[in-house]
Amino acid sequence: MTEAFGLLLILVIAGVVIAVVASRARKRPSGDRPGGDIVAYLILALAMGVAGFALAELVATAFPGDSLVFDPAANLATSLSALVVSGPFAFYFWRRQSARRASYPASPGWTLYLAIIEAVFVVALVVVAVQLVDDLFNENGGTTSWTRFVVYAAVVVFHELAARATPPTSDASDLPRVIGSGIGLVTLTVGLVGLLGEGLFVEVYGAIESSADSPGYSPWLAMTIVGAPIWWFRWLRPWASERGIPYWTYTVVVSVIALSMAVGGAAAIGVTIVQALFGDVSSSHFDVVPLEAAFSIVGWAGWLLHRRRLGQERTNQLRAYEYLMAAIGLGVSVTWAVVLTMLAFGRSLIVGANAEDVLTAGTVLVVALAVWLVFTSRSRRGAPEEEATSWPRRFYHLGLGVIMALIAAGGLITTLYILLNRALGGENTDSVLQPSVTFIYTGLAAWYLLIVYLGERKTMESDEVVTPFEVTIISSHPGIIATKFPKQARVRVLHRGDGAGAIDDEMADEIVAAVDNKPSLVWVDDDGFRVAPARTS
Amino acid sequence: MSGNRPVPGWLIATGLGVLVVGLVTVAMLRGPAELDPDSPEGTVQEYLMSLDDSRWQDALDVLHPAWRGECQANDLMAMHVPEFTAELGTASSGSRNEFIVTDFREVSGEDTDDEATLPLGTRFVEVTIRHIGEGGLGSTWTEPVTFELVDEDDFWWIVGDPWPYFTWNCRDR
Repeated sequence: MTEAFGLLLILVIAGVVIAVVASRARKRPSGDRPGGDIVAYLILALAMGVAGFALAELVATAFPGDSLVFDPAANLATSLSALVVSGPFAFYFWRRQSARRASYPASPGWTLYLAIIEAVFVVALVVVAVQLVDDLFNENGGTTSWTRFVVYAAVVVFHELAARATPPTSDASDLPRVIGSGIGLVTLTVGLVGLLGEGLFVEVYGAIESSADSPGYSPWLAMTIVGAPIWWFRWLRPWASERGIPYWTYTVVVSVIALSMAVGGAAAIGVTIVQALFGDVSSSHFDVVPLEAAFSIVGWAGWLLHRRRLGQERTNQLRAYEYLMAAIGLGVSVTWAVVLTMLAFGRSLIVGANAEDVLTAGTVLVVALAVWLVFTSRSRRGAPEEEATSWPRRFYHLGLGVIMALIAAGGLITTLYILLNRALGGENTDSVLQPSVTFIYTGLAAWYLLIVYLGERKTMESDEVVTPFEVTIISSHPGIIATKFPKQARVRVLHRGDGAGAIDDEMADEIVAAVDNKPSLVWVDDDGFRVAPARTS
Repeated sequence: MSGNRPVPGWLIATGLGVLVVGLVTVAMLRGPAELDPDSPEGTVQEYLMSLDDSRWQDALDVLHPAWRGECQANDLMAMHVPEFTAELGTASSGSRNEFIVTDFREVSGEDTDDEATLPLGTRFVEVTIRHIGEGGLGSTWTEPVTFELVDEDDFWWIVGDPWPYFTWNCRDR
């Protein structure tokens, strides 16, 4: 009785809240004010998330399947109470935001909402789907409830249809698809690495070497079967001609991770072979090669599929990818150079041969240095002036240079501390080798990076004196045009609410040239851009 | 952009190549550090090198007789670690920073020793034991270990139940 009264009370309170909010909404001209609606969409996402999972719990309670532990009263109470609270909020805010989207389609809140729903419900869908498919391949079967799969799939499809009805058009409108692509890709990649490294390659290796483990395909097959269609649906379908920052960021990051996987796997195979050639290894030494090979092959495949999207023209996206790889190469090189120096001159090793360690460190260092040299040499392909002023190169030299300098400073401080502590009679037995070597290597790297940065900045400084000027740009998608103006420019952007007037890299360069460092008003629409001189006060 | 480089590219590549070859050569040619056998660190090195070479009796000989008790070479061999390296960490003086068992009371079964009569360590040597697995990258794991030593009869004896922890099972046999 008490529970029923409590439930009724909650329903009454929720009804009153909704009635008041709806009444206030009717009184004011709600659809007339443009805005991001971020807060409203966040509340909607929260309500939809709670409602979705509560509904899944409710349906799972109705169709419990073969659950070993089942408490229908508790499950029902949990799911119903969550639904009662979240359902009305989700319903109200969904209708409210649907109406506002019709007037203001470029709302960033809609993009953010779809991205959150994609991240939460596609992950939930993948987890349940992998369990379900894996159950099909297991002899004993499983107890995974199919009802959750149905509910999560319904939530995902519902939002997919809504996104098609009113596609997100803000600057980051790619974000939901990019998140879905990432979820599908990670699932597919793990599945493929497992299928090859724990299954197929182990079968092949087992035919050669008796010490091989027995091959396994579960749950890798299920992950591959589930991940592949999601990745295909989100990534391989045609994209809009105007691709935004999320798309390019994702493509660059995935290309870098995939190439790192490919090179890392190949380096691991190289280390295994070098150890066998020059070290004393057992018969099971090559047991890890199937996994290393799978890691490398899947990495190469991922790299081929994503790297080509960056194209061959020296855009900032391509530069970001190359300088990120160069940064990884340099960072790994410095780390393993310290390790190798410790192995060469350290006095801490008191037992055991270190030949395998040396071969490992030497091989990894050679590979990392090769990566760094290859990717830094790519910068010569661009026009020097354009390359030197590009933000990826400047960020690489300045950002990485500062990080290296900070690490070098830490190494120097540690070295001085140990030496001073000893000089003052302290009982410090720490070796100065590691901090001092860290200081030397990172200091050299920092010196090189910062010298190049400062040299290029000096070379590129123009003799032309630019007086401060103001530019006002009216556009729906300004992109990164603000970074293309000289530092004397004060750029103001007025966002168009109608989604027209996107600025791509090429148009940004044309606008900067047309403005010619003079106070201007720039109007961008679907026909291109117009520049008018602005009056200076 | 090569014109803006402070050092030519070919010189960087050559210098790095020479550095790598030089470091690898030096590292391959040198063996483990040789510590003073009369120091606590030297005793620990002797103990671990004996284990590494399967010289079980030599390893037992550096354990304090009171802590070694009835333990035999076979007891140590039973705890054999196939392949490992050891790196010396810090060494410090002091007393064991943990509770000391001062008395055993017979609850059932046999009587046990009074551990309070055993000598306790005055010098502590930290060592990182690295167990070596098979193949490629990341196939090893490390284990921090602290050895306790006591200075008696001009020799630093290992006391307590040292890695790989076997005396608890045979000392009072």
